[in-house]
Amino acid sequence: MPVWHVVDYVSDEEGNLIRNWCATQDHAVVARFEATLITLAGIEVWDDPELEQFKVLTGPHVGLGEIRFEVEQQVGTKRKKRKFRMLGIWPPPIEREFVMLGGLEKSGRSPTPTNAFELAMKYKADFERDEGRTCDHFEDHFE
Amino acid sequence: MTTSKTISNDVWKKLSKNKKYREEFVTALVKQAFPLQVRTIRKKRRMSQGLLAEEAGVTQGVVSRAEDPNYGNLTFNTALRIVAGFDLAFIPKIVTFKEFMKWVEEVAEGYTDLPSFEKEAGITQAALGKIEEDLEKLRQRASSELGSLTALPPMPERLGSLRGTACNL
Repeated sequence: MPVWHVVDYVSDEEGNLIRNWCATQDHAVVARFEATLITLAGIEVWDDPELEQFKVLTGPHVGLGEIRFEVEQQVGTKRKKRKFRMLGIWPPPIEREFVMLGGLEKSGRSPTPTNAFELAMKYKADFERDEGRTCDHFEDHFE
Repeated sequence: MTTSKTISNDVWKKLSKNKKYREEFVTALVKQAFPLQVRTIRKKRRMSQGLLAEEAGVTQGVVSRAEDPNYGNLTFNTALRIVAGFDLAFIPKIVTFKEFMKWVEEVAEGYTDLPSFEKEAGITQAALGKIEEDLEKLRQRASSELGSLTALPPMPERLGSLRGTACNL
């Protein structure tokens, strides 16, 4: 059994936020994201400062944690590293269950979408008011 | 409830999308899983990166990069040296996607420490010491028995004297 469960937040207005975000990304980004989730599922302690794939947010974004992954892509003649984050609720509302609220790409100081953090805080508040629902990120297609 | 089977079923469906996705996913998982396994084994054994580097004959920076899931340029040579630092083995193996899915399930369930060759073979330091002690005793016994054998005249000499006795008879 995986140590952690990762779930998508499904907003009443927007639907599955994680599926929506993945639909706007290319194959390399989605593949890297899925691979990061699989490796994290087997790690006991996510808030270990030495763990590169996860960071607990502080300051204005306290209450959130971010899954981190990078994708190296060829842009013209150069290899470019693109940095991505998947925001979710931290500490987890249920032990070892990470509720994902939305993804973003970091370029310099501004994220894409620019209001990614504000949106995540809003969806976190919605979740805490019992609005919307969650669904397992890894659906069982065969059973 | 997510099970590792649920994950592999979901991944299989996503892999069916296209060849490019399959290529990206295999690359992404391999590049993330190896650093994670190195880090997990090192931490379970309570080794610092410096100590592992010493055992592997590399610098601490090499170990640090080998544990970085975003480094991406890890060579077979470095991987082999780090694995040797743990006294473990490494299998680079080309597999089918069905076989790959079994590994995906293993990764999702998490890595644990693995016993080194000596532990696996049941040869502890204490056992090695006992073997050396027994060998020393055997060496001493053999030496004292050989000592008493050398007190006898060499074989050709004895044969000569027996032959002389026989002639006298």
